[in-house]
Amino acid sequence: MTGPDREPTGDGLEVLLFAGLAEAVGRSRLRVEPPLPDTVGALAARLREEWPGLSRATFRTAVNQRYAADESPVRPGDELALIPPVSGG
Amino acid sequence: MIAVTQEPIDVDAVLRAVEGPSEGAVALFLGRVRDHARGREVERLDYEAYGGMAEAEMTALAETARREHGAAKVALVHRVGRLEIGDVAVAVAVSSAHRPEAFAACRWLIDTLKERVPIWKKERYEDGEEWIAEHP
Repeated sequence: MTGPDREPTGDGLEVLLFAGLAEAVGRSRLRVEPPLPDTVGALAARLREEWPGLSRATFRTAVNQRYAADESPVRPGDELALIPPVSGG
Repeated sequence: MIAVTQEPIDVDAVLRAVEGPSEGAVALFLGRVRDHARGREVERLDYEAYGGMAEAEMTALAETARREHGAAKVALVHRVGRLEIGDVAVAVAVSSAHRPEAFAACRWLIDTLKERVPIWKKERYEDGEEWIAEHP
């Protein structure tokens, strides 16, 4: 499975936000500059500290468009997304 | 047929996508926009999707339905954008040789889609709006 097309992002990465999370933060994408945390869980913890709109939010995390566990690694250029509780259908 | 689309869902095309000479049973589920929710009157819905991931998740669900739930062919289409009361928001069609597998796989697909696929709806009311969080 290949990742999505995306612009080179140097040593940092992009984090996509959706729906109520995007509204709570006031933007739909965040740039994370190096040094990057090693894992998805550590990155999420850093984002919760940096963005008050995320501090107590409920979300899952996706890396390159797949749900990822907290211990999954994070690498420069990855496309991360914070997935608030879904409500399709 | 797996798609997240801004356009109205063509239900006939969804049914054609699961046709086959060995498939004697077809189950179709349509989710339509309802005029009430949680005791409030709903005027319309706005759906947002994480497009690429939503289609990837839907593709994975279709594969699991074929591998583990006896589906022969699967079509999954979810509409996004602004939807009015009565519009079809989601269509799930499953074919199989006989009806038990078609019913069971169709039920599993819509239930699991609602739990996993990154799509969100915002309900619009006369006096406000709210993003709905159903499945953490």
